[in-house]
Amino acid sequence: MSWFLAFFSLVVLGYYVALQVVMLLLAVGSALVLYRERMIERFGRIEDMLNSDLAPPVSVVVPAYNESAGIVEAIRSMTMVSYPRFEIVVTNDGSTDDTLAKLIEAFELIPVPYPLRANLETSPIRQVYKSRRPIALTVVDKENGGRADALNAAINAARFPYVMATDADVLIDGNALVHAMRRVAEDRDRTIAVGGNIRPINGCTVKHGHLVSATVPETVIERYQLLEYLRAFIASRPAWSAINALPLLSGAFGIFRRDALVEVGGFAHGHFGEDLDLTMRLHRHYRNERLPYRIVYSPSAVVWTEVPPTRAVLRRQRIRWHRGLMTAVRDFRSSFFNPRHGPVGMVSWPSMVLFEYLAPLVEFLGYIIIPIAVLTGAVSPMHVAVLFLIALFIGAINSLLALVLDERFGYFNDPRETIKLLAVVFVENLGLRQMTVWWRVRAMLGGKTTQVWGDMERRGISQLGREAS
Amino acid sequence: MVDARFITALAFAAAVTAGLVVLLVAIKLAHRQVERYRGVRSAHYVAAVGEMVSRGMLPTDPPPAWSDDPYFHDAVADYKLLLTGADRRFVDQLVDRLGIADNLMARAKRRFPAASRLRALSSLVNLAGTRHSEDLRSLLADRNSHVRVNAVRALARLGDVASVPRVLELATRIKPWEAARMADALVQMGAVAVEPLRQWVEQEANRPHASVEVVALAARLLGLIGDTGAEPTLVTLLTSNQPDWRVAAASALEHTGSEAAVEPLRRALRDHEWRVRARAATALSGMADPRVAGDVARLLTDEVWWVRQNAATALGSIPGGRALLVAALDGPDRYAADAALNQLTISGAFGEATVRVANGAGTDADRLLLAKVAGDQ
Repeated sequence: MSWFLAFFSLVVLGYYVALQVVMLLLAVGSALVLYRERMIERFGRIEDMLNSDLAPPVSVVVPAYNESAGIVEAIRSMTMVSYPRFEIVVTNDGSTDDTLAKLIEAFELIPVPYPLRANLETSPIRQVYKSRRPIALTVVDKENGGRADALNAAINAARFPYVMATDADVLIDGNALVHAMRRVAEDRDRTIAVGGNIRPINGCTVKHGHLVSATVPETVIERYQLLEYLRAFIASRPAWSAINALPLLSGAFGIFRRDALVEVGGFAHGHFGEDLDLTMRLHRHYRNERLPYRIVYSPSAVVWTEVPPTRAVLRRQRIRWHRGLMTAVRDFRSSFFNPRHGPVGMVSWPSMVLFEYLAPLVEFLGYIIIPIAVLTGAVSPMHVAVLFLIALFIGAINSLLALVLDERFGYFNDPRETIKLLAVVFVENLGLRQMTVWWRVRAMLGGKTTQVWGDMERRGISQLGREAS
Repeated sequence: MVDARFITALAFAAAVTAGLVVLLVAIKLAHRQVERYRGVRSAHYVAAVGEMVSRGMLPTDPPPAWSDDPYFHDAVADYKLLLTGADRRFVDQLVDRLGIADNLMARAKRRFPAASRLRALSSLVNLAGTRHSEDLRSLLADRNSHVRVNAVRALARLGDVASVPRVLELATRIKPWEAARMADALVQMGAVAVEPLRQWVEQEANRPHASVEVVALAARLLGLIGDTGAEPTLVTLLTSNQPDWRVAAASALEHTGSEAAVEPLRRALRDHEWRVRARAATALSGMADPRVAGDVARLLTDEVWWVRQNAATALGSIPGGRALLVAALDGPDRYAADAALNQLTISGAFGEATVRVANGAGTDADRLLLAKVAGDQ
């Protein structure tokens, strides 16, 4: 028994150190990629694309379900995005509130007998509307079928060869499309998808649908999420992208080549993590068919979104995310250490399974077994303490590297904002981390309370963060 | 006891953590100071150059830092872009007097540091003179793609026609992004670029292993520049064996096409490549020639969705096209009827028909349109 406790304690600590070392490697890789990206942004004439007739046109597809509070502002903000040629296609997914009425009134929509291509199967379409104003806006009104179904309907109505899937409650940075489409223009033949950088908007100041100033959120729970987003989007995804092994493009910002989307059947219905599922399906399809492709990430294509401000909403979100991951682990088991699937099959997907999917379980067991091992004398408390501290420091180094790399974007101008985040780097391990571990374990255990979607209350763009006076 | 190696590892991790904390705070503070310093310096330079321009006086003893300082270059370039006539010539004299362009050229030709030479080239785009053309052309062979793109931009701004074939030659070997940026620069050259572009396309199109993408790109450029002088070349390209060239030529003729392009485009409506048919329909819509309405209307029953849509959209702007769209509503082809109905609604024909019927002046075609829209809803 004592041998088992000692062995398991070492496995848990070793696992934790390995996890942090993998993250450290990703952070170093991301630093190199971000340096190259910075050179391109400074001297690569990205702004030329704004006036270029050679820029590939994009359809921005937006699913909307009961978004009455903020849909008009959100679409107005999207129309102000800088890009030479794009259209917006909104799907009203059978909203029970006045989402459609608000859109009709604000954008002077008229019903048109628009001949939709049925490339992707969806719930029945009720009507298609076009705006009488000089903006390229199409609204598809359909019966309720969920987010994936609404996105698929919008993709059917999209006219352009690239579609950008986003949400109705986000704020798209003015230059996000240019930065993302630059990655497409670099290699149009191979690029089938581009992901963007999602940043929490909580605490920032928003005016007329634009971000005026970025500040660190007020509550610790929001700051913790900000740090998590930075670690994922600044210190990890650039490295995965560099080796064409991005396992996930976030639902709030993903640009896809339309024909590639149609080929894999579009977004999957009733999936808790449809963005993860779609990205992995694209990888699997192109790898199995041995077609040249790349799925890339653009750190400068920024989209601002509200992160859960309370523990209850965060709990629902994390459970939903982990359930989505569980489904994906089951659906894509054939990709796990599959050399045919290239870097995704051999590196990023195994890393996702081992260090994302299994992490809460290992960590949770560690919290139970290591104290028992120490109390029974199976392992030396000093050894455990030192290993634990080493792991914590490596974790802190990862977070600090993410913060240093984020400096290139220059969002938080006041050094006091950075100090606030620095505090979270050190206190996140004193309860916050354990809390999310427990929620993810709950997701794995199942049960009624883990089966909910748990939508956040819709507040509208002007209410995201702080509204400017 | 704990192994000494563990303690060393712990101490090392703690030291790295502390170092990163210090680095982060230092970056933050330094960034703030640098931004402030840059702002002040730029403001001073803008004021100084403004003073010189308004007085029309060149400095007798300028500070040596001016010819090296990128913020001064930015201020001068901004004035140069803003001003015209004598004021602009004065700025050119100032650039010459201070030797700014020569300094920048020397820096651009150095290999290191990369950021500094790229900064120099960005400024040279606006400040280079014709005497730098040869040096700029030599930079087209540089290994750094940003250097090449900025060299092309500078040459395009100088209207250096001789570099056009070299740029197109280069475009056959580089990445699409870089080729597109160079193409943007060539478009900025305007009509002077048409002749060398045209000659290059004609030569390249006859070569056995011509670059499909770059010839298509050059054809599109001819369209974007919009000079009718390119029309014979584009019409020839419209009958080539390469589908991508025919697509590009049909698109380009939309911008440059005169009456002489109508007949070739009409023939292109029967092309076996659907993209050519779709583009030709769109190109013909801009020429508003009623003779082609019947040919375009035939595409309403095309097997490809995009061709039907483009044909319907084109008929919305071709004289006599609306009547053909209304006729298609009652036709046997459901796809043609859908495309026609959509176009009639978004082009405003439906609204006009509604008003006429309400006023008692509606025609049979109006009533058919209203009935169709009502039926579809």
